[in-house]
Amino acid sequence: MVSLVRAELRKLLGLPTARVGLLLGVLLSPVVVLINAPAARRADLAHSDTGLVELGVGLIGPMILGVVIMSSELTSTGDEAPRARQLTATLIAGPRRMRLLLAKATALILVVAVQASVATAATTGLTQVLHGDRVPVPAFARLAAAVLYWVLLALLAYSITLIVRNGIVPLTFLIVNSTFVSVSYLLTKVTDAAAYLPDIVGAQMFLRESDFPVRIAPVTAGLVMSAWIAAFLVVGALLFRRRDA
Amino acid sequence: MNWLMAELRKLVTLPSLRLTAAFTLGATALLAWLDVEPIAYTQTGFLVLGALAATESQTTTLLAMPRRLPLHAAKAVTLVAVTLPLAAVASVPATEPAAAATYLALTTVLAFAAGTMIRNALATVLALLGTHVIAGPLLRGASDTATRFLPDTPAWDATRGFSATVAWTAAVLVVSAYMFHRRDAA
Repeated sequence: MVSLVRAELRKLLGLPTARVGLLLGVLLSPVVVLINAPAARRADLAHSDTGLVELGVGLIGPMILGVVIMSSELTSTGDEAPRARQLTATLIAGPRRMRLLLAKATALILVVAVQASVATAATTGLTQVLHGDRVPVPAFARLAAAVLYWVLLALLAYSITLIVRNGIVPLTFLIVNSTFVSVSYLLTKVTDAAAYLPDIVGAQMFLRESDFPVRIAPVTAGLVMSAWIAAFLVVGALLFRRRDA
Repeated sequence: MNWLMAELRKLVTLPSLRLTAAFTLGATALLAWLDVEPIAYTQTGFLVLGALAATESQTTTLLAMPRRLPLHAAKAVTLVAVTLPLAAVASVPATEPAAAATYLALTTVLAFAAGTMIRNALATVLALLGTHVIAGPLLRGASDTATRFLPDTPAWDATRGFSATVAWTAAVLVVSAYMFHRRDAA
């Protein structure tokens, strides 16, 4: 199992797109804190969520990692051999599918946890430097919750890719949904039930002052989001076990 | 003219493009029903469309039609021909339908040119979402002067005109034609 995880780690970190995702995830949030700082200081907008809200932009990193760890197995390797895919070789080397999925999930969790920790530390540290006393230092539990949120979203991207067996669809949907034109956020304007969608509810683990239609306690929010992700993973795993590779 | 017709036939029959088009129109209808100005969302569908049109397999095409610049032009022209009706339908709920349709068609060509340069569908989609959905709104929020130079300005504010979109599309198209002309086929 350890060698499987190590193999998956090496494959993931060798992908150019994954490296882009790794870099974007670490850099984007601190950069946004920097860009937003002058306006926030001028209008005195800084509050206890400042620095943590900006972590939302960096989510593109874990999303890319979660998608490509699976989609890289499924895309055709080139024009010369149109139907050849990496997955064939992977399954010949390790035919037990559940172990393969578990190894992939483990590798993904490890990489994203490190990435999220670095990004969270950089973003909140930079916020302290730029805003000083106006933003209180967030409790350790909130920072840990932010890291958990990143890991869970990476797993969500991974499970959706498992289900639809294509990288472009989940990547497009998740990125669009995480930005200024979030469909989940729009839905919260239509119905309060949308507050329980995985990406919306999960944010309540570590954000306090954002505009949520329904207030949910952090631990409850974490449990609801984890339940969503677990359900997606189970569906993805069952399909992966039953379907032809 | 056979090669022009061939490109057209490929565009209208590729399953991934049909699926993207159907999905885009469906999502646009849903957003219109929710009473949201849909172009900022709809453009993602057209970005994917252009990226997929450019990153489909090339080897056989180049055997049949080795003159690359005319081929590249044919691909761009047929893509516009296919996209325009689709963009017109998708723009019906917009406040300025004509401007929105023009913007969407230009954006598809921009995505196609970017895809020709990057040659990987996932990486192309990623790059385009980065510019149009992340960097664009971010820079626009930070500085008003940036608005005039961003390729996606009309998606958010149709009154700003689309000279920046035209300039970006033309520039990327020229660079992509040069690269398509010079590089080994992949």
